[in-house]
Amino acid sequence: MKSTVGSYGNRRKLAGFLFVLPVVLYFALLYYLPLVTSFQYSFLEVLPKQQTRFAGLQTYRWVLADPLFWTSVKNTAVFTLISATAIVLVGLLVSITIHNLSGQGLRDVYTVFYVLPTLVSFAAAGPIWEWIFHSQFGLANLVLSFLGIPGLKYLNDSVQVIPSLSVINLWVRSGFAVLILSAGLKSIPDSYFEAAKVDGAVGLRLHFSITIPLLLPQIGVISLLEVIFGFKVFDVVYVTTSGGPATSSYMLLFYFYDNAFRFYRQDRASVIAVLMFFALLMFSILQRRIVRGRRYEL
Amino acid sequence: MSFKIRTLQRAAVIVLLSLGAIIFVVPVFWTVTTSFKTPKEIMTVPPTLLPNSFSYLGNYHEVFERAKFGRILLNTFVLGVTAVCVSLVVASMAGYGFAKFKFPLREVFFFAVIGVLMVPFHSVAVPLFIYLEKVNLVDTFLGLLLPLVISAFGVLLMREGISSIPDDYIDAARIDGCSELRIFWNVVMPMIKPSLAALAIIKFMWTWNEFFWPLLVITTPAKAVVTLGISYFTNFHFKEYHLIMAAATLSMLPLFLLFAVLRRWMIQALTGTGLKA
Repeated sequence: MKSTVGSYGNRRKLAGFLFVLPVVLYFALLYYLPLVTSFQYSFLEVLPKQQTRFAGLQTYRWVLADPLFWTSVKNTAVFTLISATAIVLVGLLVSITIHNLSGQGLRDVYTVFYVLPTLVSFAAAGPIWEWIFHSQFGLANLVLSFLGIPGLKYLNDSVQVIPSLSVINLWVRSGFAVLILSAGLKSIPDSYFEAAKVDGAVGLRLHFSITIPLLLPQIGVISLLEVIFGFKVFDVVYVTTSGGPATSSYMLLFYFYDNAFRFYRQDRASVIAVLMFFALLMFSILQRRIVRGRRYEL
Repeated sequence: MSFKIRTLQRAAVIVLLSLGAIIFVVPVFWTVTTSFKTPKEIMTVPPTLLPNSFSYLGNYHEVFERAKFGRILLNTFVLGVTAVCVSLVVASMAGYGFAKFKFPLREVFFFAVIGVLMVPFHSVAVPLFIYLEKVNLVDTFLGLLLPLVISAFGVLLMREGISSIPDDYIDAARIDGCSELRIFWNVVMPMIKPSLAALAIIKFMWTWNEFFWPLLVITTPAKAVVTLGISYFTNFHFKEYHLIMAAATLSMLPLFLLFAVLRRWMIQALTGTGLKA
């Protein structure tokens, strides 16, 4: 009798193992193996005729001494900072305002408006906004001319280009922030607001002393998600400026892409891949810490 | 007095919120209307608010003719549906395994799955491309599909959904003599329909909008997906915006339709990705 119980238990163990096996093999082959290869490549030097030689930290030194690398880091950091801040602010403003509307129907309608662009790919959003930013026929400058403001150059100007890209990013990504913050707002009991109102807190003060502190976990999640996302910005730059004018919107992933697929310097691309891996690992671990109530212990 | 101020305040809030909503929707409106304008019409100052005639389909005609956009839309659709189907089955199998079984190495495997969320795809893209080159999968549907088909997010989502199923249901089926595979398919799967729907929506959307990986692996226009298709109207010297706007409209349309039909589901799924992905 005992042995049948044992074999039954073993069969269940086997079943569980087999259920997760496909996914584990998949990630091993498509993520972890290439990740190891990336690390390997980063210590090699690419010679003519596709030969390689161990180079130690030489490629790291080369990349870290390349001014273009630092330009791309700086551009990416500026883009990320502007984008993440703008998205958090717009998200807070919109979600709190929507939350205070009376009537579920009205709230739903406004939510739809703000969430709609979230469905648009950056490959589409890029040219859509390029057309809006068009110096002669664009909507943006038309609106400015009504207000008596001279037209801007947006993506064609080395100073305006990164803020302009952030606008496109804001347009696509704000919907996520609105949704996450709205979910957070719904989870705050009304009694908190009532109590604050009784104490005399109204309007902005109510939000600064009650709403925003209670939303801090969501704000934290959004900030980190957007930092991670901004770090990896590529699509929207690729379809609009290609890093220009000159190198004023040249991003980290552009540096990576050019090295890997235009200059055929896999070693240099791998160095960036490794550096990015560690940077994002740090952010992801932070993010996981912040997401409250989600613990992955089994 | 105070009542008046509050009414004014409320009106101001509605006006600002509406203004913001308009700013968010105008780019979509502008894209769709531009796609019905002739190349000449889009270059008028000031621009016409609505196209002279919505029956001008010349841009769409040209998009379908020149870039084989019908083929491109079909490719993307097939890619999306395949990724959805495969990930629904494989991710829920794994989710089931992690949620309801104990076996050696479980913690290690689970950590490995979470770890994938922290690996930026770009960190593995170059070696992955080189592997695919070795097995002649560059510029093929399979090569395009492979890294997009399963996401760690899906596994975690399914694990969470399945965790909430009471063990009694599973044990009852086991006592009835069901095989483990049948329990998974006939007992577990029907009980996690909301999670399956959320994963299906998100997976389809992600695959539909994916740009980076197709850009690397696909070189033949006939094998392209819609995100690449939009860029086929950009030449080195100029951009044919009347065509780009038609292509962009076509690229947005399926997800907008999906959103119109499944709004609540989609909002829920999108909220979930923000908190988990």
